[in-house]
Amino acid sequence: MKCEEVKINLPEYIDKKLDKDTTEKIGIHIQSCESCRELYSELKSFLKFTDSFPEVEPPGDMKEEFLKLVETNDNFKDKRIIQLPDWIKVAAILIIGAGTFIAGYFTGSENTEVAQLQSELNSMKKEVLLAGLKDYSGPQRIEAVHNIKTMGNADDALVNALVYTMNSDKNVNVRLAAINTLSEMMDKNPGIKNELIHSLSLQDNPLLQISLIQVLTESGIKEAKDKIESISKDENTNEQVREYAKSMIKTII
Amino acid sequence: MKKVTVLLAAFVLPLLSMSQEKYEYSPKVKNRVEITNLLGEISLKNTSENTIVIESDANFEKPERAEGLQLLGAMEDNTGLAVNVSEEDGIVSITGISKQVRDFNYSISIPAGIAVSIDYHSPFASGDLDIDSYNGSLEIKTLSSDVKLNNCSGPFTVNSVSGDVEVIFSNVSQGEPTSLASVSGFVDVSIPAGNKANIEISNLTGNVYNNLNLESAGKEDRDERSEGLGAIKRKGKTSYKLNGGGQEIYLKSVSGNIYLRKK
Repeated sequence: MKCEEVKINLPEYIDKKLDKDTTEKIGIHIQSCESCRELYSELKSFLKFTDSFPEVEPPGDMKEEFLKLVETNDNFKDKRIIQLPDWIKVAAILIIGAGTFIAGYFTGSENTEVAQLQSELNSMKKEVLLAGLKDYSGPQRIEAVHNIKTMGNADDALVNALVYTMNSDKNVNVRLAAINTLSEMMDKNPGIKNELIHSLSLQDNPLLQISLIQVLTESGIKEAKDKIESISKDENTNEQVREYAKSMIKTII
Repeated sequence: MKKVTVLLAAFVLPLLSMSQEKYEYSPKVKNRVEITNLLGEISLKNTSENTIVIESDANFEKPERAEGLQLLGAMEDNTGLAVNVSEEDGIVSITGISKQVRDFNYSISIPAGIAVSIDYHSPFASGDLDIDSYNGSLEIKTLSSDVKLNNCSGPFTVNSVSGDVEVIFSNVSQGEPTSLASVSGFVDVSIPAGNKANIEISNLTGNVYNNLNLESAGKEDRDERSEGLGAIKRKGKTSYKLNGGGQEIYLKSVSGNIYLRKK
């Protein structure tokens, strides 16, 4: 067995969820390979540590680690997103999933089966998207955020994940992408409107402030008026943001 | 004899003063490099080796009075270049340990395939970021410094408040999207002929100049008369396809212009 394979399967190996054969192979590999053994013991102690504090609140700077968010979310409790190794491999799973679904559809399976497959596919797709959000590289997170648009639905778990990204991702471009995606999902989930308004008081980057004001005013959200007005008068705010807020407030009646 | 001294002064002294210190580090996991608080001139390049190499003219000397004292609150200078290099969770951090690093030049070689992020978002950043021939994922954040990526492939996320963002693609990476944004600086992008991309542009008061063969991609731009009046959506952005469409490139500026050119 190759190191790469062992590394991908380690979390499941530690959780004793692998079949006998694979478990044995990994056990043998770990005994002979020092780097994998090191990773194994690191990961094992890490998982032990996290398991001992299941209710721990992640520190502020870890909010973008969607893993935490997803783990605390009931809907995803049984699904170990941590095991999804990287975006591309996961995308491959998704494509296979889609293939299975289409094949099932065209061979004329029972309607219920199709529906079940479809719901499996959807939940798989959702996991993939959320897994992408916790990934480390900015471009990958942007891709994940934009792919959420293609999902069609806007349930609260996805919206919450996006709101976290919008408010706490350390990459401004990723936050910008989240604002874009949320604004396009606004008509499907009424809660988004309030999140966008709330976010106005959290953002300190002028680009994000301007983008939020733009989205809110162009969608004619009257409830945002007070907040935009107060931004236009706040002397601590970037001058361009104030100017923009001042000119856009006229468009909200 | 005098001539010899002059010659020595002319050739040897500059060599001495330009002497580059070198530090090498082999990352345990080839995943990601984060560069923070390194506010001097940074030049990045790819290397086919497996080690990160930092070269610098850093000449960091303690004041005489500080003899025997430690720099309070700073990380350990474990490179001899006023820089701390550490690795945790697959992320190699390269951090400037003193404010003086802004007086020095740093040339950093990164093994291919490692994603790099540079946080240059500080009012004390002294220079601009000039990156030449870098192939791989780059995340850059600046306040007023300009960012120029010359002959690089990406994907990039670049964000600046008042700095200009200029990207000359060697090739548009089809793996992941690129996002470039500035509030008051310009965004200037050059793309080689034949490269495929979907380009989404959003700007408020600046203008967009272009000589690429862009096709409109948005449905909103079709003849609305034939489709019924309900379909109009007001949006602050427009999408285009280049050579049939490909990986996404998001461009945003507020008051700066956006330039799109053929390379």
